[in-house]
Amino acid sequence: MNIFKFLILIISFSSIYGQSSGKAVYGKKWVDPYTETERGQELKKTNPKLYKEYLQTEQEQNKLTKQLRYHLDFNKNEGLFYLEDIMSIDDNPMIRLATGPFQGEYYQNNINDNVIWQLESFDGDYLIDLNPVQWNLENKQKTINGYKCYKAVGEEKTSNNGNEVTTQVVAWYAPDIPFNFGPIGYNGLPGLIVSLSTRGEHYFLEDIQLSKDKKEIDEPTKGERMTYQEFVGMFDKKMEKIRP
Amino acid sequence: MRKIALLAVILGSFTFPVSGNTIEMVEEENQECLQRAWDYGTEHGRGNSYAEWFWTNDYIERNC
Repeated sequence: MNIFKFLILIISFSSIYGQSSGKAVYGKKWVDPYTETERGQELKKTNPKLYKEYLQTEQEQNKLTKQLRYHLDFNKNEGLFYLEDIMSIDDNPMIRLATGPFQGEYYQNNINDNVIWQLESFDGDYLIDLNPVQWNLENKQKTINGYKCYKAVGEEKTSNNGNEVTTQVVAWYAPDIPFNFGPIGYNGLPGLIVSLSTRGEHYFLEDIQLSKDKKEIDEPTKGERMTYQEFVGMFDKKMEKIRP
Repeated sequence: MRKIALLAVILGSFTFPVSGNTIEMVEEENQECLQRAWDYGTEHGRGNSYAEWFWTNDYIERNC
């Protein structure tokens, strides 16, 4: 390696590793829509009218979701993931179709090793402590937005009316962006998560800006504090109450 | 949840004033809509009870 190549390598290394904060912007898509599942295809045969209604809802959902932009602000130790305010979509009563259930703010703190989800729901505000995901790092790699990324797969276990439910999370992270945060509270990988799929949602990095400036991240404080298990258990009971 | 509670109140009050086919039809229609909302919510919630509740409620807000 000649001196010129060596200098370029040093400069590019320090330009990324010398950064202390950043701001990433993500888009979102819905994947595995219900109408394309086996049960959805069965519905197409047994109740075409209802199937058409579901299909139209999905189309509206996709259209609205294209307008959403999510931000991840971070410094070395903390990250905050949230939906950008857009006046035109805030006025749309259909917007919940696009945001989906897992809306709100996600605060990640590497020092305390905790992730808090702040949710403003139909019937109250909650601060939910999320469980860390146990990642399985795979050797698969691909380039996303110019970054060499590696695949990681995680599993989350929750209960639904006493039955254990396992949800898979697939993430692609970039070791060249040495901040271990990601969308909707997922973190703990050796690099920023640039692509994440779980629960029918797919988040993908659109833009990132790194900075040498220090950035303050505020921890959300509004809402009733509870664990994720307590939160889900509360909705088990709510669903039982409205069961037809 | 407010909408569900509201619907329950509405359904309750509709059974009170007069007895007739119209009232029964309204109630039946709403019951059918609540059933559709439940089906939609449980199908789209992917086994997560919070997500099931969210989509059920969302369907009611939009359709019932």
